[in-house]
Amino acid sequence: MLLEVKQLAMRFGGVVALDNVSFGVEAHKITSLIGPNGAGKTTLFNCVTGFYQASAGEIVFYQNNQAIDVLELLGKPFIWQDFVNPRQLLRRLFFKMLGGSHRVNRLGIARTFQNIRLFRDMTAIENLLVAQHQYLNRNILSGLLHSKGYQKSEQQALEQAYYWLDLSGLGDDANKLAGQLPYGHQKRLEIIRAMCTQPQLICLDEPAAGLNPNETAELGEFIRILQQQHQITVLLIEHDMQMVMDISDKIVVLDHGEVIATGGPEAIQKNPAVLAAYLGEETTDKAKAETNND
Amino acid sequence: MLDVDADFSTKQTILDAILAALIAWLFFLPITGVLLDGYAVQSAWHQPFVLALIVFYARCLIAIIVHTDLGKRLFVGKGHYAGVEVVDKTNAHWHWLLVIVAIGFVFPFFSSKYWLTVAILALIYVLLGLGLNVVVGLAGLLDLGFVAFYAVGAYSYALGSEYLGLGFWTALPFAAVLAASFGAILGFPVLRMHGDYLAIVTLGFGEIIRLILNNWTAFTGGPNGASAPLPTLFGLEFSRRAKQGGTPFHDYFGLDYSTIYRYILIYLVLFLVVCVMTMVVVRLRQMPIGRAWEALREDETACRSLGINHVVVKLSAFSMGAMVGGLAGVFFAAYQGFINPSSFTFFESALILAIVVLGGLGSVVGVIIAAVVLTILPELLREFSDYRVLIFGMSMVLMMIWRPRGLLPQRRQAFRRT
Ligand SMILES: Nc1ncnc2c1ncn2[C@@H]1O[C@H](COP(=O)(O)OP(=O)(O)OP(=O)(O)O)[C@@H](O)[C@H]1O
Ligand SMILES: [Mg+2]
Repeated sequence: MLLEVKQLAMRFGGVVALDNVSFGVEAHKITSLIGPNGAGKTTLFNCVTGFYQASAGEIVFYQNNQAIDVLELLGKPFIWQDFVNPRQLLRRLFFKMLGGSHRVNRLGIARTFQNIRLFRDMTAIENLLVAQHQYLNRNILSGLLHSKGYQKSEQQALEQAYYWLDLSGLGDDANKLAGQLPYGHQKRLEIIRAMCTQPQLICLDEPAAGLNPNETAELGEFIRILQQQHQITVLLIEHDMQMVMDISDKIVVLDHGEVIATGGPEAIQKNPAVLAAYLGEETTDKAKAETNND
Repeated sequence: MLDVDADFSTKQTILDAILAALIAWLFFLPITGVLLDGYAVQSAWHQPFVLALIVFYARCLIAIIVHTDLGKRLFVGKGHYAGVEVVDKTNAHWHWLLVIVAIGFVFPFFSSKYWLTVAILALIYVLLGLGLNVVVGLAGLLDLGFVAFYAVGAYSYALGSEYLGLGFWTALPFAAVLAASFGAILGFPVLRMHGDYLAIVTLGFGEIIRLILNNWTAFTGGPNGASAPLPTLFGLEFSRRAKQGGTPFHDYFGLDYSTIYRYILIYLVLFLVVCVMTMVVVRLRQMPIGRAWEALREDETACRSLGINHVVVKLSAFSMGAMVGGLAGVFFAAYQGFINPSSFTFFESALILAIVVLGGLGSVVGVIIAAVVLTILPELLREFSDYRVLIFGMSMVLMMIWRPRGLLPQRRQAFRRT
């Protein structure tokens, strides 16, 4: 297990976007998150990657046999026990001051966005260099003086960036502005930009949306390569059922903020609750009728 | 010369021109068509016609020009003009750069005092433009109170010499550090703000600093201002008679006394600082921190998703910009010899912002050119000084129409495979 979500809840005022959501993500596997529009998939991603502060529940990330509380990194509110436990208090204060979603990324959870968020006025390769920020030599002086160490670090970053560009077939787009690339290329660029942060878990929010069947197939292939050759764990939101069923090891189905089914592709395809959620009331009645008949 | 393209239609052009002339005629009829002669009214019916005719021909001419190659380049821009181009790093221009720098260094020895002071002012604005360019152009944080850091720099020299006995040379690093800290102080409360809200808060910050300077009479001298000492060179003073124990510069070198020497010194140091700061900003832009600034401008959410601490990036942009602004302040105080809060009004912030916008957000060369043009042009056009702000506003409007991304297209360095 790499990631575990336990009884997660997210409320926006009166809107309950997530309610009692629990599931696990196996290491080096592809887990898919599906559900009808507005089910709360993106909200769940935002909670896992630290963009929303969950209202309740736990998110645990397992790294080097250690369980790390992701929500703590975002700075949890103080509770009275803190004031009798100075170490706990300091820890909380530290994350209150210096915590935030960037820490979740540094932990090893990268993500892409449902509506592409590239640095549009920067070139593709610069997008990838920005993603490697934390691994670069950021010493201002050695940068200004172009020291040996600085040049080497920039060189390595460049090689890494070209490695990913070539792997995803964007080699020719390296020095084009990201915002001017074709849509499909932008989608791929966003994925490899996330990969450049060297994550263990990558969360992809509808990577195939807007792609034609050919491109979708290529993308599925690419995600497989990530998982198999780079030992990356993938958490995927996708509406394209063909792709989901093809590449997923495990599927979690979300509806109205609740998990209604979990299991392998075959089991999910036959699950009456899932069919009902996707096909609406009519089928619900049919499904019920069928269950009654049995 | 007037090779029009296929889109040009004579009929359309004439129809447009007739319409424009008709509007002009209606517009000018009550204005120039009737003349007051004492209590009587005379009609001057031919005048509106003449003006309408001029408008007719002008409209035709414009229509033709925008359809020629030259006009297209000037007014319409290349079809896909995006304002950003990716170029390979070339050293093709380095000898021009050397020539410009050399001219810059020998300029004060051949210049009159008047043009020397104009040049100093221009360089101060270059420095301010460079500083604000980091905040607005690179990091995308719209700062309408940049003049606050300029004021902090200027006052830290004036008050530093009064209370701490700082000289010009120690004031430079002192002001830089102080202004940078003020930048960080401003950065903290606005960490969670974007766009308009950020602009308003920074505007407030600028005014707060000015009001403090104005009202804390006991410390800052209030509206009466504070005097800043003349700079010295290795202990040599630039006044007619040195303070006790000192030697005046002109005595030491056996020259006649003239105030131009102090301006030459200020100019040379300022020019050096501008050169260094230009290099620093150009280089910072290609360094991780500069890329992070630009990434922050493009998309803060994406930045956070990539593990970049937006707090650090924002604060560093604010501090860097403020530091450069503070340096400019020291030179301003040294050059004027006297400062008061009325030099640091919102208009000044707006002027610096105009420099950055005209020069093209993020483009260092553009900002330098804009700063020089905007300070030297008003000097050349003294007769039109009443219209200065008007011309200013008009040029901004025209810019926004033709070149919303700045006079020069921004250049991004290409990264080739090795
Ligand atoms: N910031 C927010 N404030 C208020 N409500 C929100 C917010 N974000 C999401 N919601 C609500 O939460 C619910 C789930 O939205 P979410 O974007 O997670 O759906 P989704 O499953 O990703 O749908 P889609 O497949 O269309 O992307 C919706 O009802 C939405 O209106
Ligand atoms: Mg969504």
